[in-house]
Amino acid sequence: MFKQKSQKWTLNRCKVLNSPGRKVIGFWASAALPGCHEGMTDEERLRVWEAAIGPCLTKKQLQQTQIVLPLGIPGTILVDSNNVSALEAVRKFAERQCPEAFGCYEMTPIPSECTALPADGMLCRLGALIPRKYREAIMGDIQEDVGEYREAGWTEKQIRRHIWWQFGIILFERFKGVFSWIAGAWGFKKLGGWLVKKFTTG
Amino acid sequence: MAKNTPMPNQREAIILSILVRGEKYGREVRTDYETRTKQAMPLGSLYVTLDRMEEKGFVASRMGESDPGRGGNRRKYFKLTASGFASLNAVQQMFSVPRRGMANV
Repeated sequence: MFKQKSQKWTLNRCKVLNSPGRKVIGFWASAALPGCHEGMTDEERLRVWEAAIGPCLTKKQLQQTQIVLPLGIPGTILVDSNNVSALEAVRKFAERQCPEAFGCYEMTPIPSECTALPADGMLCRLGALIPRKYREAIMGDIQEDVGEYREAGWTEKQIRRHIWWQFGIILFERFKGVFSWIAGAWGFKKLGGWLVKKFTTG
Repeated sequence: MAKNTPMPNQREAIILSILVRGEKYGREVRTDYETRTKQAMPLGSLYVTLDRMEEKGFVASRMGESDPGRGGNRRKYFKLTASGFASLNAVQQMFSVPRRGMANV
């Protein structure tokens, strides 16, 4: 975790996430911490961050900046890895807007733990697939799993596999109605075909 | 057994018996479930089940505090409702009758 006193961010040393169309680096600030944007919806948090970051950036920089608050962990933003001004803007905003919570802000990547980034980024992106009513709870639980497994010495690959497995099940649970409809339709067609054959040719 | 007590399925009954010991959040329920049944319980399935149980009135939920260790996400705590207790009792009674009968064989 970055402390308020160590202001120098060495984000460029960190591993960059693969993102379609742009290079992004993971960073999150827990805007849901008590006393800081508590009770806001994701959309409201997004607008707050946009308003804070937007004026500090050029148009091009803004285009390169991906703010994905509504898609993942509350308070998560992904910004361009080379976009130091965007990161600086976020940091200043956090400091000014919510000084009491800033010390608790989780800044990822942490230079010494940069390899931890891919799984977190993946988690953040996949979060959009979870139904809203239990998105926060599941994301948090998986996040706890990831932390625990890292402490236990799991590799990133193992952690990613765990996350994929969890999300695979979530997706299955979400769309199993569609699967059963398809299976039902297929079965109905089969039955229809059998009946037609039985009673028209037999 | 009350006439209108809805009956939980097997998975729900196990979760109800876990929640008898007090309020728990998703991961705790999962850990207990896996310890008891020796079967994996993915979080996706767990939350779908808990959601269904909440709709049936077996459990009630509340959101806890946000936690930096969870990326700022809050925990969702579940606890048994009166209806959940009644259903669990009904299940236990249902299984204890044949057990008593078998003891006399």
